[in-house]
Amino acid sequence: MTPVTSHIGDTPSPISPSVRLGGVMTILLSLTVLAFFLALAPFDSAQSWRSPFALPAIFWIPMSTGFGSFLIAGWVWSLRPADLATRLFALSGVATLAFTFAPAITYSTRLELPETVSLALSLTNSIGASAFGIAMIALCLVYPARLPGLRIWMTLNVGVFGLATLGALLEILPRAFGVHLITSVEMVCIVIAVVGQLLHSRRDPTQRAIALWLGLAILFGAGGFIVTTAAPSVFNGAPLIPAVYSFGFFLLIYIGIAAGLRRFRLFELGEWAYRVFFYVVGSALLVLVDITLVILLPIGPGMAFGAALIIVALVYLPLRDVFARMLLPRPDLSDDQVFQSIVDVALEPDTVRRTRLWQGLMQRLFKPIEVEACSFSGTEAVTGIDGVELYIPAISQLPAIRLRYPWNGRGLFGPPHQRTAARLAQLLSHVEAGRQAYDRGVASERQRIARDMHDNIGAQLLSALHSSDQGRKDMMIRESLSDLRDIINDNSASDLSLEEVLSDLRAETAERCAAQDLELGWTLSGTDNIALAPAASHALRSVIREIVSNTIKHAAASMLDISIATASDRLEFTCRDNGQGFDPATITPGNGLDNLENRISALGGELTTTPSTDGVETRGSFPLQTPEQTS
Amino acid sequence: MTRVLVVEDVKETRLWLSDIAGRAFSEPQITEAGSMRAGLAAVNSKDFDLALIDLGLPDGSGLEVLRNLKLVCSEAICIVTTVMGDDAHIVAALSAGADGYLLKDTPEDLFERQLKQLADGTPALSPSIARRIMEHFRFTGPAASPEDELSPREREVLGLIGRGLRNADVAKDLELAESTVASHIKSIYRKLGISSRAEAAWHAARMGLSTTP
Repeated sequence: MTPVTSHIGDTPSPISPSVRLGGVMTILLSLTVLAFFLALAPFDSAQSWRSPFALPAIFWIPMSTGFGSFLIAGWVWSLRPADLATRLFALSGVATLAFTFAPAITYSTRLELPETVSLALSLTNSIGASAFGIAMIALCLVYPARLPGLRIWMTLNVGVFGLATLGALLEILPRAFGVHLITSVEMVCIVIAVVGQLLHSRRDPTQRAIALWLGLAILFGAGGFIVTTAAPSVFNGAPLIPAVYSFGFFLLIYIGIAAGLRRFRLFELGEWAYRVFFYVVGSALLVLVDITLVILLPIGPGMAFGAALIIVALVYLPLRDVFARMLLPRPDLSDDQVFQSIVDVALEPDTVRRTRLWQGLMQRLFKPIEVEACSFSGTEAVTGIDGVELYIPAISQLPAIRLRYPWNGRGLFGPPHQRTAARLAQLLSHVEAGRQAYDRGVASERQRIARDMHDNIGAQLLSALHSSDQGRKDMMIRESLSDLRDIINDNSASDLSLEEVLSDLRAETAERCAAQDLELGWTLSGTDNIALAPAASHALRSVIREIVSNTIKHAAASMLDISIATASDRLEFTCRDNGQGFDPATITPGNGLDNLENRISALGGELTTTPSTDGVETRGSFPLQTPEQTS
Repeated sequence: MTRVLVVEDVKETRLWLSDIAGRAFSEPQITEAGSMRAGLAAVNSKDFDLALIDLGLPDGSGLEVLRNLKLVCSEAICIVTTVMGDDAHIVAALSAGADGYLLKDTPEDLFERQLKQLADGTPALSPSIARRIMEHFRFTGPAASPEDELSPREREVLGLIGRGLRNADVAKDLELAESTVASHIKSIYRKLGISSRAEAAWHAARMGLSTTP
């Protein structure tokens, strides 16, 4: 693929586009003032100046055509003065100015113009018309692509039509070779050049779109003039519409091109072209209104400037806003929609679908013809091949994307699109990070529930199932339910103090003891800021529960003291009752005491039960942190 | 004679509850309901002195039955019976006017004891619910009037219960009569209801559901 044209900024110029456009407008306004002067001036001193409103259509129509064409061509040129295409386009604008202003003056002035001036005006008209054709052919030969054999075609174009025009004007050629015939032939050549461009760009949608748009604008404008006016005149017929109106066709060309600047990035120009235009036109308008006020109204320059400012502010700025809204690009998606889509992409759990959603969003935003994953390794969105491509970086598991031929091949990517893409990619990675944090949260919560379930409830239900003792069965099932409650209410959460973790056990124990008229002493010491691993607190709870059960069932005690304390990274607990005690010899192995010892030794601790005639004392201790509990 | 309503969808548990109620009260007249619909129908058909209501019913929430019963006979003592003891649900039930709650996995004798106490008008709170209620008052907006906020004494009571003390132990700790502790707890329940209603009204006003600002 060949680059469309040279890069913007290839030839840095000290003069800014606004200044050049200002220069163009100065020339244009001077010529316009001159034309008005010639059209309005009285024939002699007996006559008075004409009112501008009394001027005929033959003045207004060519004048406005020339004015608009020159302005637009000059505008485009002033933005990219070094480019051959814009120079040719500017040349066509100058030609249009020539062949419109000249007849406008000739047909509307009441002055007795000197012979030479009349002849000059007539020549200006003819040369302008032919030069317009030559410039347009040349433009179609070099833009959007330089057609093969450009030199030959260029030489032929300028040589043949230039000489023919010269011949016609000097009346060397037969009368049939009038300027109308030459311009008609030029039109045919423009059509051929446009077809050449279309053929040449058939593999490149961007260039093809430009060729089509430019070709259509020229064909409708100039073609309209030829068909309605020039061709009938060649064949000695009457024009299809009054010749005066046919000038308007040429303005169509320039308006069409101006409208295509952003959409097709004609001449590599984008929306910034409009910004420059609005700015310069606004300034010119200010000066014009100012001058008009000074001339027409009996007010001083100061007041006039103020009034001009107000008028421009009230009329031009709102108008400019309306035009800007029409011409400057608006994204098809609202910010809300884009944001919603980004969130959808980030929250989609399936990677394949997420990739599809992300590419779909890019598709809707830029409407490229091609969207595909690529191995782009940058971290920022960048454009490539002069804006034909846009690369979006890879984001977490989403592959990098290459977008090609935006807006269905009718446009190019520019810096604003690059910025938009970069911002969206950034936004997506932020949301993605949030989603990953959320996923991690869900995973760790699920892990907590699974661990708590596995550690306690599964084991308890299993031992309940296999226990033949009805009482034990009930107790273990109750314990499972109580553990389940803890899991649901997240009572093992680390922000609870040990006292709070054990508060339910205390309340429950107190309740049970009260029912048996057993006095309970409950002492906690050194347990502030101690976090107990869930497994440890479950074990501690079930051990104490069972000890209390034993005391209630067997001890016939009136008092039970339970104290829990921490010392040097160990938790120690003591349960002492004042009951009748028991004889260790009568205890059969495999009973509850073994069970208690097992539970504590599983935590890496030990438990001793000391029965005496004064009651039973059970002491236990285990380390607060065991290696597998560090999680 | 005590008229008791038992709303519970698990059949065995319903029988177990009725059994205990039958032993706890003299000459009880027990009505059983296995669903929210049946519970509502029972409430509409006659008055009750006491109701044991399960919250998670197959066709809806026991809260509906509770609200209806409180509406038609405000004197009835409503006790929520639950097995999971999901703190948030219990606090919601207390806000809706429940007089207390019991865990269905409590051993039978203990359950009967606690039921009798509740029926006598002695409320009880478990530590985790007490903590949850404290949190509720900490995080809900400012009360409409200062007397609807918890008094320092009530906070003390909640704090001790949250650490596992029973009413009697709280009374001893604060040198109060046990009946005073009970009245503090009842007051906490009442304020919980007020604050929840105030909060609901505030939310409703904010969403434009209510005309009063």
